[in-house]
Amino acid sequence: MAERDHDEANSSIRKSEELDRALDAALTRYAAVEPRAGLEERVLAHLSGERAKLPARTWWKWSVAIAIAAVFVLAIAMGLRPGRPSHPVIAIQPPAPDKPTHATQAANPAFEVTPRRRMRTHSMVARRSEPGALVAILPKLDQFPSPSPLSDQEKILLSYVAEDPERAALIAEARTKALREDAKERAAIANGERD
Amino acid sequence: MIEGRQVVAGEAILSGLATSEHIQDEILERLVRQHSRLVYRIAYTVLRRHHDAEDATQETFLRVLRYSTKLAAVEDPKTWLARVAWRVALDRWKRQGKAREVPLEDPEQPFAEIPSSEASADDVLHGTRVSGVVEKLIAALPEKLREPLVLSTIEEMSPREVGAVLGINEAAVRSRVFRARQLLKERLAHLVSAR
Repeated sequence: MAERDHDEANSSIRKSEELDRALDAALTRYAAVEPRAGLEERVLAHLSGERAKLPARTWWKWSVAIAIAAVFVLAIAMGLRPGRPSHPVIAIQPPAPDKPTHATQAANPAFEVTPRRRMRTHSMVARRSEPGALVAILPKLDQFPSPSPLSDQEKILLSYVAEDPERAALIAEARTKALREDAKERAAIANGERD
Repeated sequence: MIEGRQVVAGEAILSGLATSEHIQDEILERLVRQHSRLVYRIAYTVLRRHHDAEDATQETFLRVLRYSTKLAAVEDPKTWLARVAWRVALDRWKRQGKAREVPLEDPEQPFAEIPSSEASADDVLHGTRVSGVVEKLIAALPEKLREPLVLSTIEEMSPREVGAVLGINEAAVRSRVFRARQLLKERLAHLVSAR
């Protein structure tokens, strides 16, 4: 009886071991597969084909955008350098009653500035480098155009332009030219400092 | 001068980009050469068909190509790639809709299951049948047990790597694989005793 139990136990163990072996073998076979020869080459060929189809990489666009932004920042920084007026610059002329004659103008082409013509405000600046030109530095406003009514100086300027538009145009041209030259000089100086 | 500096900087950026692209290509090629077989096997454990596994392998490396800019930052490329392959295979399996029946006589018999000349015909037949039965039993396992079991059948995958792919720790992998094996063994024993 004991012998039979012993045999049955042995048989059970043997079956369990056989099952283990069969299971191990089956599990080994489960993933023990080999791809068709040349898988790597096929994958690489497929990748090189797909790479050509891919759109231009986005960081190229980002680089261009950053470069453009850098240029803008540089331009703005140059524009805001100290010593350069940050406000709109308006060339104005004295009021009509003081309009000089053609003879006076010929003698002194650059309009002469008299103390009276400098007006009564410190916002107008006469620059030594540009004799005859009056520069008014107006307060910077949040809203443009300014909603406030015209100042006395602006009214005077308007009346002058209305009375003698040709001369006003000539003076404006001269002023613009002078400003451009000034800007070039400043740029040259700035470049010289950087170098 | 500034323009000159910008040109030099631009050339440096372009050169850096070219170098970076070259490095990415090298990393990608190395990944394909070293791990394409692993990727294929992972895909095969899920999809159980050679052409599907190969398609999944191609898709896996295509995804890697799309994220090639981040390749250099990957700490463990093998595990990372295994995770990508696993997801791709699961996605494909889900896209196929239903869990497929695996025929006992699969016309696309894996290369490794081709009988060797040393095994007798009965052994081969028996082995193939057991494999087929085990495959069905594995498919019937709960997902929580099936996934670590099938991944651990891949010889290149350590329990730690299986855990990394599935997002569980190594002890959990070992425990689940043990339980899965116990279940398979019980069911296999039941099938054998039923005959």
